[in-house]
Amino acid sequence: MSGADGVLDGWSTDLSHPPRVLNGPPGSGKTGVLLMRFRQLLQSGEFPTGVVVWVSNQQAVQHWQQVIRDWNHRGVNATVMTFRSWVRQELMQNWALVESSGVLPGKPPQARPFFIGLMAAQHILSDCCAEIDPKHDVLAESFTAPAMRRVQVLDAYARVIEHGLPYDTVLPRLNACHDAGPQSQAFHVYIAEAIAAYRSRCMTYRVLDHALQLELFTLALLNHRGYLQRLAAHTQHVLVDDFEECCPVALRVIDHVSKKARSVLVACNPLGGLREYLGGDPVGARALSQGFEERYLMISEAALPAASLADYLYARAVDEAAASVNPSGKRSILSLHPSCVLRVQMFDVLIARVRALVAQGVPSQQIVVIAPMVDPLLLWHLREGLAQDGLPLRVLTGTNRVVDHRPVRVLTTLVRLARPQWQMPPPEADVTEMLETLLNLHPLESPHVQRGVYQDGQLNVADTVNWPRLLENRRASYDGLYGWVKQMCESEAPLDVLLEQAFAQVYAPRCLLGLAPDGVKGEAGSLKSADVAMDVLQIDQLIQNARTHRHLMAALGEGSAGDPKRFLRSIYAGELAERPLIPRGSLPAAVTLYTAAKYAEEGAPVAHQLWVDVASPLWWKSDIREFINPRVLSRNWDEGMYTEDHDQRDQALKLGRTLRAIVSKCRVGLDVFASDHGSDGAELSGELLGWFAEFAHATRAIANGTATEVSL
Amino acid sequence: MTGESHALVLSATGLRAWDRCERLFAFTYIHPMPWPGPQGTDPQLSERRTSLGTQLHHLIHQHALGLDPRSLARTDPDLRRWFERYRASAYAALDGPVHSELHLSASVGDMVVRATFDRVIQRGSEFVIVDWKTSERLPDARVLADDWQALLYPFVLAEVGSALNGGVAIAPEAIKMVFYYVEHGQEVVIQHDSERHEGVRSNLLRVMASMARSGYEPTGKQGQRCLKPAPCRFYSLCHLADMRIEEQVADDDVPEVGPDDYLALLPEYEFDDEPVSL
Repeated sequence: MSGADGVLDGWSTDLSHPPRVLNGPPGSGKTGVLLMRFRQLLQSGEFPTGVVVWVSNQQAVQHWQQVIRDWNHRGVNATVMTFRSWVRQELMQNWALVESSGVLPGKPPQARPFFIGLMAAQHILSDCCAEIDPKHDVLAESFTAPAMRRVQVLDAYARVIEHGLPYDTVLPRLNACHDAGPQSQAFHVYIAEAIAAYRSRCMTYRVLDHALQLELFTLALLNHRGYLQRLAAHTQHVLVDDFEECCPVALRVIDHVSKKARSVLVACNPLGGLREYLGGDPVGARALSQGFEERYLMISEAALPAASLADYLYARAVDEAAASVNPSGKRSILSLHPSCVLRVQMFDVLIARVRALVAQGVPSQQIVVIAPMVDPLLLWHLREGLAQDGLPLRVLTGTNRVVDHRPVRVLTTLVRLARPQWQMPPPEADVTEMLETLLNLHPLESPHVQRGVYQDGQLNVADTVNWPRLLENRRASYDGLYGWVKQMCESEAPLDVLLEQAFAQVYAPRCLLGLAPDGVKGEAGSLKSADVAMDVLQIDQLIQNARTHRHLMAALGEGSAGDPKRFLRSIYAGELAERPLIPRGSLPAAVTLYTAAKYAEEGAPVAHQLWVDVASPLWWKSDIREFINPRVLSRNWDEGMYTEDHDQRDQALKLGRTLRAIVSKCRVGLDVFASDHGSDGAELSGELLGWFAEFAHATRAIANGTATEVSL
Repeated sequence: MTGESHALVLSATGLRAWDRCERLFAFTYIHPMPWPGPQGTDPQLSERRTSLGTQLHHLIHQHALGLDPRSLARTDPDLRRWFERYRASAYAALDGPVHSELHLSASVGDMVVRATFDRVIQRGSEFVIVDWKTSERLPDARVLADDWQALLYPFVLAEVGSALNGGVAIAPEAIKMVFYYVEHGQEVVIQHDSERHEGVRSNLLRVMASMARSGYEPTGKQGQRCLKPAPCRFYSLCHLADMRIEEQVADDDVPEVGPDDYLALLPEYEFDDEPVSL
C-alpha cells in the first residue's frame, strides 16, 4: 500500500487547464499514480500517440516501457521520452520548417541536424578557444594545475550552453561573484568570444547542443502557428514526472500545451529533485502551478519507510527543522557500528556484517553497500572477502575514466604505432604494458622486450633484436603483432575502424582466448568474468565515441577523417568516463556497491543498506566547482551576489536531498560503518557520523555491545 | 536483477537474426553484449548508405506531416533522386487517412511483436502498408514474400490496427504490403490474406517454442552465414578458438632455461667499484 493509492478515484478523462500537480517526496508513489493515470486513459479508449509522457531520464523511460510491456499492451505504442528527446524528435520531424524559418545562418540547408552532448560541445568550444588564442587549448592542457581553472570556467560555460541559459547575462554575474580583477575579466571576455565563435560554427553547420536545440525549438517552432496547431491537435494528454527538474523551455511548452490539451498531470517533489542542480527550474515549475493549490494532490509521507531518519537527516543537512516528521508505520533498524581505527578494519567489519545478513537469509541482491570512491586495494579486499562466501560484488560507480582500463590503453597504443604519420608515438611505459598484455609476458620480462623492440617511436623486426632465450616462445607471437602493425600502417581506415580491427584481430584472439561465451541461457549470459565484460564494454565505449567524433568532424566540414589525434589526446586527458556495467537479464546474486549520488539517482529499493566510511568527507561528493552552481547561472537567481553562505546552503540542500532519496529506498535495516582515519592516514571526524550518533541518542538508543540499534 | 521475467519484444529484424543464428539472436536480444565488430565488408560505404536511408525516411515523414522538404533533399544527389522517385510514386499522395512512422505492438503467446510502419494508407476499406527501400539490388519477389517484414507487418496491422479503422478489426484480405525501391522507382506488392495470416501466427508460435528449447548455440550453417551477406558482429567472439594465433607454441616447445636466462632479463646497472663498508 502506498500513500498514492486511490488518488485517481473519480477522475474523468477530461481535466481541463490548468495542470494538476501531484506533490510528494521521493518514494511516495508519484510515478505510480502517473502510470495508473496512463493506464486509465488507454483503457478509456484514448489513442496512445495522443498521450505524451515526459520523464526525467533514460532509466525512467525504460521503467515505463517495461511496465507498459508487462501490461501486455497491444496496439499503437505511446510516446514515453525525456523532454530533451522529445525536443529532438520535434526538431527532426519538423526540420524543413526550422530551415525555412530564417533563424539559421544563410548556408545551404542540411538534410538534418547533428545533435551533440556536453562532451562534444566542450570539444568544439575548446577548438574555438585555441583558434582565438593558440595558447589556450584548454582541454589539451587540462593536466596542468593552472589550466584546471580554465577548464572549470569552460565547463561552466559549456553547462550554460547545455541548459539553454543566456551566457551574455551570466558573464557579468560570474564576474561579480568571483575575483573580478582585470585578468579575470579579460579571461571571461576571451571565453565569451570563444563561445560566440562556437555558437556561430554550430549554427552554421547545424551541429546542435542541448541549448541550441531548445533555442531553435523556441524560435522556429514555438513561434510557428502551424506547428502549434499540429502540436495541440496531436497532444491530448500530458503526463510529466519530476516536474521540478524541467528546464524553462519545458515549462513553457507545458504551459502552452496545457491550454489546449484535455488533461495535464505533473508529479513534483516539493523539496526539489536530485538533478535540480543540473539546470532544472523548480522556481519556474512552482510559478507555473501557482494559484491552483486546490488541485494539488498531496501524497502522505507516511508511506516512506524509515521516514523519521530521512526527515532527521534532511533537517540536519539543511539546518532547519523539518516541517513535519511522520513516523513510519514500518519498522526499520539503524545500526551504528563502532568506528574502527583503520579503514581496512572497517571493511572487515562490513564483510562480517554482509555474511551475517546472508546467513540470516537476506538475498545478496537485497544488500547495497554505499561508499565513497574506494581505492583499488580496499576494493580488492572487499571483493575477495565476499568471494570467500561465494558472494560476487558488483561495483556501480561510473565515475572512473575509460583510459583507466588497461585494454583501452593497449588498443590506443596499437593504433598510435600503426599511424606513425600522426607523430604521436606511445610512451615506453604504454608499449611495455601493451607487450606484457598481448605477448602474455611477466611484468619482469616486458620492460626487457620493450627495450629491445621499441626504438624511435616504432616497433622493430624481431630479427634485429637480441631476443633472450627465455622468451624464445614469445618471438613468433611478437612477429604476428609486428606484422599486424605494419599491415595497418598501409591501411587508410579511420580511427574507430582501426580500433575495431585491433580488438577483433589482435586483442580478442590473444587476450580473450578461452573466454568462450557462457551457455548464453545461463546466469549472466555474458562473458564469464564480469571484469572482462567491463573491459569489453569500455572498448566498445571507446570505439563508439571515436566514431561519433569522426561523424562530428564530418558534420563540421572537417572531412571524413577529422582529427583523430585530438580524440586520442582527449582520451588520455581523461575526458571520457567509463560506461558502467549494468548487465541485463537475470543476474547472479551479488552485493552491489554504489556511490551515494549514484544510488540516490539510480538505485532500486533494497532491504539492507550498508553505509561505509561515513566519516570520510568524500562520502558524498559535493560540487566544489564554484562556477557551475546553477543557482548562480539560473534565470531565477535573484538574491544578488552569490556568497559562500549561499553556496554552503545549496550544498546542504543537495546533501539533504541525496540522503533523503537514499534512506527512502531502505526497507528493513541501515548499517553505518566508519573509521577514524582516512586513506591518507589523517584523522577523520565527518559530520554525518555525528548526526547518526545524535539521532541515536535522541531516539533513546539501546546499546547492545557491538552496535547501537535504533528502531525507526 | 531479481529474476523477473518480462515479455520478449521482437521486430522483423530480431526474427531475421533468429533465423540467421540463434547465438547472434541471444547476444543481441536476450543478453545484449557489447562486442565491437566490423560493420559490413566496407564499413564506411554501408555507413553512408544507412545514413542516407535514415535521412530519406525523415524527409518522407516530414512530407507526410505536411511540410515541403525538397530543399533538404538537394543536399545529396542520391537523396534528391530517391526523394523525387518517392514523390512520383503512387504512395506519396496525402489525400485520405495516412499514418506515417506508426508503431504498433501485438501479442502472440508470451511474445510481443512490434512493427514500425513507414506509412499506412487507407483507401476505402483497403489498407496499404508502404515500406521505402534504398537498396541497390531489386530482390526476388518470392524471396521477399517470405521475409519476416512482409509477414509480420500485415499480421500486426490485422491484429491490432482497429484503432486506425474506427475500432473495427481490419480483415487480413484488406491489407497489402508494398516495398517501394526508390533507387529503381519500382515496387513489390504482397497481398495478405487469412491463410497467410494464420501461417504467420503458426510461424511465430513455432519460433517461440524453438526459443524456449534453444541453448542458443551457433546455428549459422557451419559458419557460412557468419560471413554472408555481411560478417556477423560477433564473428570474432564465436571464432576465438579458430583465430588462436598460430605462432603461439605449445608448452612442450618452451625451451629449457637456466638462471642465466633470467639474469639476462634484468636491467643493466652500473656498480661502483669500491666495496661498501658496513
